[in-house]
Order: sequence, then C-alpha cells, then structure tokens
Amino acid sequence: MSDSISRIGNVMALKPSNLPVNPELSPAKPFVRFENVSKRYGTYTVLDNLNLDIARNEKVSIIGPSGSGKTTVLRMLMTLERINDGIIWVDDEPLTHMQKNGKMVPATNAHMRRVRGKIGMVFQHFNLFPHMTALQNCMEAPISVLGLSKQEAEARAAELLDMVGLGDKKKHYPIQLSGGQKQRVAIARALAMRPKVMLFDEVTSALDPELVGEVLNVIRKLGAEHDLTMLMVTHQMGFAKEFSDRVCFFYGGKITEQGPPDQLFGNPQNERTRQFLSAVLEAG
Amino acid sequence: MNSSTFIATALADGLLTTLVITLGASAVAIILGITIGYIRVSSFWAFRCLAIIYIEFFRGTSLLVQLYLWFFVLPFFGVTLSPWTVGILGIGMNVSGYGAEVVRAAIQSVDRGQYEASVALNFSRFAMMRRILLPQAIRAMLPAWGNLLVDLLKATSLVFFITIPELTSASKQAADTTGNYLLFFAVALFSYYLIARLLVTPFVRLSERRFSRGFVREAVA
Amino acid sequence: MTWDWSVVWEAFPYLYRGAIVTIQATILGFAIALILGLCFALIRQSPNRIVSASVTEIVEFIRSTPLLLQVFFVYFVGPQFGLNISAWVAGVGVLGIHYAAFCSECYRAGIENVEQGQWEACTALNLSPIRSWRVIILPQAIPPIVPSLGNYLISMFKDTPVLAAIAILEMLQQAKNFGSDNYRYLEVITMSGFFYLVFSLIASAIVQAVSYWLNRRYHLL
Repeated sequence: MSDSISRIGNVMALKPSNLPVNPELSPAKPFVRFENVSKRYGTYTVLDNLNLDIARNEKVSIIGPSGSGKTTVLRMLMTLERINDGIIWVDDEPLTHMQKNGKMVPATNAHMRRVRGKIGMVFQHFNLFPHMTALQNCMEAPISVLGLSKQEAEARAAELLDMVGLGDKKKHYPIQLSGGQKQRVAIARALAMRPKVMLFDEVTSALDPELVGEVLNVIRKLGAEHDLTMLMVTHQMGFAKEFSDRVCFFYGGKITEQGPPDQLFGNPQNERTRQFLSAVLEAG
Repeated sequence: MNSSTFIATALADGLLTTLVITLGASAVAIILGITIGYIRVSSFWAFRCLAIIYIEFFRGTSLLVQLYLWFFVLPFFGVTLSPWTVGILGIGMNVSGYGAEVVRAAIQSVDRGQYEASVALNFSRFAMMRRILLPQAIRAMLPAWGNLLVDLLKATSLVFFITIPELTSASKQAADTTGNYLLFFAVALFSYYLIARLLVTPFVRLSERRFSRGFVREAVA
Repeated sequence: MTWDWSVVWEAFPYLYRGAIVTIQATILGFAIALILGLCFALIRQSPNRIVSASVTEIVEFIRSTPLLLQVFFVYFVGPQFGLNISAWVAGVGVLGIHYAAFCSECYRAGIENVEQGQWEACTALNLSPIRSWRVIILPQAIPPIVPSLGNYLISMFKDTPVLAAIAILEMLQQAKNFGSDNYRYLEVITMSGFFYLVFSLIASAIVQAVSYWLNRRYHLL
C-alpha cells in the first residue's frame, strides 16, 4: 500500500491537505472503527455486534450473499442508517456519538454532518441530480457545503471529470449519459468533496456488462494515485481479488471470514465462504 | 328554551336535507358517470363525441352556472323543476362529468396485455369489458371516486343559492338569529367533516378491499 | 323564449366587470394556495410526529368541508370578536386557504415521487437540509405536478361564484342580478357558462405550456 501513496503524482491537489492531522494517530491506529455495532429492523438483526477496523489508505472489499448486511455497513458509516448499538469511529472521532460532560451521547445532526464530511459515497443507482449537468453535479456541494467560489468549484469539478475520462461530457445531463458514464460522474462528484474515506456500494451492479470495465478502471486509478481509504461492497470477485488489501466475507450479519484476497479466495477456511465462492464461480 | 328547540330542529332538518341530497346526487353521479364513461370508450366514434361533449360541458362550466341554468333558465322554456330536483340532478350530473373521466382513465389504465389476452381468448367485446377490464378498472378508480363523493358532499352547500335550507343555510340562519356565528358555523363545519370521514371514507375503503382480492397479497395469517 | 342578441350587448359591461373581479380573485387566491400549500406540504414532512399529524388533520379538515361554509366562518365569526375583515380579504383568503389544502396534497405526491436515492446523495455530499430541499428535491418534485396544480387553478376559478354569498360582485352574481332586474336569464347565464368554459380551456393550455417549459428547464422529460 505504501508505494501507492508515493505515486500521488499530478493529482496531488486531491490530497486533503488543509485538514489538521491528528498527532495521536499512528499508522497502526484504525482510520475507521466499528465497535460492537448492531443494526436491527424490529426483531430482525441485520448486523450483529460488528467489530471492524480499517487502516488509513486500506482498501477493503466486502462480499457475501444478499441480505448478509454488507450494504448496511456502508450505509451506517454514511449515516444513512441509524445504528442500534455500539459506536463508529472515523479518524479518531466518534461519528455516531459525541462527548458531552465526559459521557458519550448520541450525536447531534451538526456533529454527524461535521464528521461525515470526511466520507464520500458512490451508489449502486448513481443518484445523480437529474436536473443538473455533470459539471453542476460536481460543483453543487463544494460551493454550498465547503464554501468554494464558483470558479474554484468549477476548476475542481473540471479536473475531476477529466480524470474520470469525461472531460467532453461536462455540459451533459445525466439522462444523456450511459450508465458507466453516470457512475464515473458520481465518483467525480464524491471526490470533489475531498473525502478521506470512499464508500462504493455495488457500483457496477446496475451497469450493462460491457460498461463495468470503465468504472472499475477509474477505481483502480483512484486506488493507485490517491490517498484514500476505500471500502467497497462488490460482486466483482476478480476485481476484489486484484484490488483490495483485505476481503471480508459477510454472512447472516457477521463477518464470517476475512483476510488478504489471496488467502480468502485461494484457501477459504470457512464452509460458508467456500459454498458462496463456488456458487459465484459456477454462475461465471 | 323554545327558540333553542326551534334552532336545533332547523339544524337537524338541514343536516337531513344535506344527507338526502348527497345520497341522491351520488346515485345520479355514479350511474351516469359509469354510463357516460363507458360510452366515452365506445368503439363507435359518434357515441364517443357525444360523451366528450357531455363531459366537457359539465366539467368546463361552473356547477353554480349549471344550477342557475336548470333553476332560472329552464322555467322560461316551460320546464319548472323543484329546487330538490335541481339540487339532486344538477349536482349529480355535474359530478358525473368528472366521474366519467375517472371511469375512462381507469379503463384505459388497464394493462394493454389484458386486452390482447382477451382478444386471443376470443371474448366478445361485452364479455371482455364485463369480465376482464371492468373488475380491474374498478379497483383503479375507487380512490378517485372517494374524492369525488367528498367533493359532491361539499357541493351540496351550493343549493344554498337556490333556496334549499340544507346544513349550510340552516346554520347561517341559526347564526343570524342568535348572533353566535362561531358556535353554529363550527358545528356545521364539524358535521361536514364527520359525514365525509364516517360515511364516505369507510365506504371507499370497504369497496377497495372487496374489489382488491387477488391484487394485493392477503395478510399472512 | 328565444335568444336575443341585444340583451347580450346590454349585459356585456356588467359581465365584463364581474369577470375582472373573478379573474383577480382567482389569481390572488391561487398565489396564496401555491405558497401556503407548499408550506403545509413541507411542515407535513417534519420528523416531529405531532406536528406532521396535526397538519395532516388540518389539511384533511379543510379539504372535506365546503368552501361556502368556510367563507361564512371567516367573514362572520371575526366581527363577533370585534375583528372586522373585508369581504374581499375574507373571500380571497379563504379561497386561497381552501385550495392550499388541495395543493399541499399535490406537492406531497411530488415530493414522495422523488427517489430516495436523491436524499441519500444529499446526505453523502453533506448538503444542508435547506439546500437539499431548495436545490435538489423541490426542482425535481414540482415540475411533474404542474398539471395537477393547474387543475386546481381551474377548479378554483369555477368556485369563485361562492364569493357572491358575501356580496362580492363576481361574474355570475352580476349575471344573476342582471337576469332578475330584466327578467331575462337565458343570455346572461349562458354567457357566464361560456366564459367559464373558454377560460378553463385557455388556462389548461397555459398550464400545459408551463409544465412543458418547467420539465425542459429542469431536464426531467
């Protein structure tokens, strides 16, 4: 991983350099930490006492059958779902809670907004704003949330759209773009906020097969050139194997097995993992 | 004591009048609405045209204009209708214009595949309408009919203008007599609200359930 | 009794004056309805259950009670407590409030039709709630509901004769007064009906144009 950090190169501007670096944070300390996190809908437990640490710049893939709670992990981190138990930390700060009179209390919206500024997310169904051009999609949040001037935001958005290979589609509306192009705009839009953590929620699942590659290439490029912690839920086993530092297999709301991709794909220890992987392989 | 009994009786009479006109006009609106709506999707163009003219006339001109036409203009042509007839027929026909559009939209909203399947199975047009399209269309149009009947209930207040002492005019008179406008208007407002909620809404809910069999999953026992 | 064109010319100035009042009341009332209706719809989205439930109930109440009675209520109950409201303010205000309840239902449908993913994108991009509403959600929610809002504009126009009950001289009242003075109703009532029909057609053409323009403006087609 360390050599990818040194290959930042010409996209240096993407580094979140204006944020204060926490002196206590050693490389060994996790950047994102799920501590005894549970999520329930009524009596149905989606996630059961999840403990997961993700290091700075680590690339983690989450795989597993549908209904295993993998997407919920990302959605909780993005504060799209409230958690029922436990606590989530981001960059040594509690996300779901805050300190008040020396005690941990559930976070206010203002607190969550501040902390989740470090997180960006790309969705399965893109969720682009249909009434805005690709460029406007990437400019809206930097202007209204980060307070950038229109010129700064436009320069940043243009640079990012160039990076995802859509320099010629800046004035296009989402309806005029293919699925793969939409997803690349969505990635640029998330990056425009200079997140430290990027979440990818099945970003290729809604795409026609021939469009998957262009999106994965952008993610590869991000991983190689940018200083980003990445957490992705994916069905692309080949990509997970090639790209990630660690793969987590979820089953029934728990991490059943995790490890380096070579180990998890090459020599899975758990019976469930083996079943899942062979079923996926059979489907091609 | 005497005057308050008198007022209470007048209000009760007004309420009864409103209910009678609402029920009568609803019957007229439903029967005419379904008939005209059915003619509106007829395969014969002259029928369709007549239905369109009917619908546009009743939807395009104001209800009160229509009531005045029946009440003030018709007598000059030798047709004198009682205020009651004008109220029930006038309001019922007005709402039937809207109802016909609801029926048309519901019939046309049934999936085209259903129509094609009926042709493939060699149904007659009438059998197709009665056995296949209408049962599905009825489900689609029930909520709209619920709203129309609430509109109809409210519209009955307009017979105030043709001198029928229904709930609104009765409460106005009671208020004018006693000077207590707040009390009588509040009573009248809540009466309309209760009628709308207690009579119209459950009726529609019930019919929705009755006609929804097979469309929605039955609750798991 | 036959149609007499001289009556038409004689009545025209009266009807014209009434028509101006009718159109003014419609436009002012609809402006109130659009703004207040949006407020109702937004308050209904409040996470506070008590707030949203009570607004829902208020909207339901306004929707299911007659406009005429509401006009009476505001116009007559005020003076009982020393608060004098002019007929014009009461009439147009109640027209606006009454239709605000209907418009709020339209807005609600529009808001609920915006995909959940748009909200999630707003959260992921950390947009403030106000910014999300103003720049992301409402621009997508409103253009599709313009046709149904337009229908309420036309309904409201056809409801303006109710204002005659508190002595506002709108068109139909002018027509009726002319009719009773000259004992000739046929021409004036027909003229009013014709005017309502023509205005409805013009208004629905305008609404369609606005709808088309808005949907293109926000690239939602």
